[in-house]
Amino acid sequence: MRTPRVALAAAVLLAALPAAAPAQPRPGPARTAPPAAPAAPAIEADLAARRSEVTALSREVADLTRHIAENRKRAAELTEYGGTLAERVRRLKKSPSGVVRDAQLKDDLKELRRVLATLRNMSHVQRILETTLSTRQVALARKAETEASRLLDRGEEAVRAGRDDDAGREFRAALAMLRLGSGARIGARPPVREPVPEPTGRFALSGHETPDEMRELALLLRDGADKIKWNGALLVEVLGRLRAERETLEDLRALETPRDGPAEGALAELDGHIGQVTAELERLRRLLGGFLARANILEQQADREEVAMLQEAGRAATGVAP
Amino acid sequence: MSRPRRALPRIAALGAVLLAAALALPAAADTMRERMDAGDRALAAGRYDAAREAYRAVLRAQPRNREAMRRLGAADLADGRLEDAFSTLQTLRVLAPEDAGVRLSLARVYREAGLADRERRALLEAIRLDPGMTEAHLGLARAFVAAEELFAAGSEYAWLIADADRAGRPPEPVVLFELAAVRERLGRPADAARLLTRYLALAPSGELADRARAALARLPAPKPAAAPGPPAAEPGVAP
Repeated sequence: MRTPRVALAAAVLLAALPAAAPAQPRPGPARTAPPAAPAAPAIEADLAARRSEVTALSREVADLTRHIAENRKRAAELTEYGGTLAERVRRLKKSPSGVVRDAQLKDDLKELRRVLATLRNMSHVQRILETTLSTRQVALARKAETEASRLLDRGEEAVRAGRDDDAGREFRAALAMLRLGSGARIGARPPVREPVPEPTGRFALSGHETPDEMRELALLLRDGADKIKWNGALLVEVLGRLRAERETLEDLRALETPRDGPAEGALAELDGHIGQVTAELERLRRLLGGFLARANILEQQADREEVAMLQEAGRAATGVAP
Repeated sequence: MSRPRRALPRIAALGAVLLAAALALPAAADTMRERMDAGDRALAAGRYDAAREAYRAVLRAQPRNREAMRRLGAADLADGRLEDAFSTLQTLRVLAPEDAGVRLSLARVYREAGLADRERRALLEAIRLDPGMTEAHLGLARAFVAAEELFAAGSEYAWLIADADRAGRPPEPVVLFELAAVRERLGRPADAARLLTRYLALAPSGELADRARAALARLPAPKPAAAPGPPAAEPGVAP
């Protein structure tokens, strides 16, 4: 009968402990608790596979980033070299012609063309690399965030099972994973783009423009249209962000007590702002349409006048009266 | 010896154990309290290693002492040991899922770790658990400013001002200052000027006051105060 009594005493002591220290939770399974059964090997293998995927993606992103930085550095060096060459070509062109000068100019021009071609090629490669990097970063961010959620879940399970040391490891790994994902997401963001000054598209036509001059004006209008498109695309992005902010404000309003708190007013103000941005976007759409229509008209007019001039020239050559 | 006689020493021993335990319990509680106090003093003095050691000593005896965990998390966070703070606070989050303070501390870890989305989520969770938690509202307002979500930021700052008005106390001056910056960026200079004037009435000196005066010099003068009446809602964000 000894053992049950000791056990009873121990139970009394244990039951008394939380009461002795207020604000103490009832001691549950603690750090010293025996570890629970290990996770099934299949789950561990799956986890390891997912982590190695993240590691591989992470390495790929690092390699691409390094490659892009190296390319950028090389392109900067080549651009500088090209500038020096162009300056030398300008000087040589101004100097009097001669056998040595002509040969030097020919060599320099050839080298300059080679440099420009290399730069063009590098720029193309760079664009491909940057697109690939962005795609990889988005993939890495997604994988890392999914993995972080899994680690957090496993940490929670470990806490509930009293395996606090395991939980600590999972949580630390989750934070590292979250930071990795966040870094990748930030890296994948396109650089901040600024609006360009709006083209006026105002120019007086004398009515005596040649077809070439008309085409030049049409080109100016198309260039202006590109600027309007650029600004419009930025506004569409702004509108997207404002709509996301609206959702956030809706969430805040749902949390607010009283219900007619500041979020309600902020929502009304934001809606007004969204309305202004939408109206501005509509104005840009109309402006863009105007620029493109005028460019089309000028090009068609240039075509018509050119045809007329050719016909006139043909008639003049053959002596046929109009 | 008869059976009752044989049992007597055992009963006496058990009584002694229980008595010793009963006497020891307050002493143990005192020791824990002393350790916590020592940890708090060390934390306040910026002696993070000492603070951690004191809280860990409590946790060695009581592995799930929430107060000790909370403070250990705070010490780690203050010392920049984000992984340790995160681990402790996440454990605490599981043990105390309704504790808004834990969410607030986690939000701070996320902010330090540069995890803005998670920070926001943790702050919203804190507010969901405790809608009146002013620190969470202020944190959220600042998180919105950092994310360029100025309407949402304005709403949170205005909530803080309305909350102070409801409680019959002046708002935190910094809230007025930061909301003024938001209103100015939203193209509401008159609102900004009014808020800065109110800020200066509450905090007339210091670096922020100098900045408020500089800002007021370039903003349009606020209109004269209205006749006394019920407190006006904050400009531009009221329904």
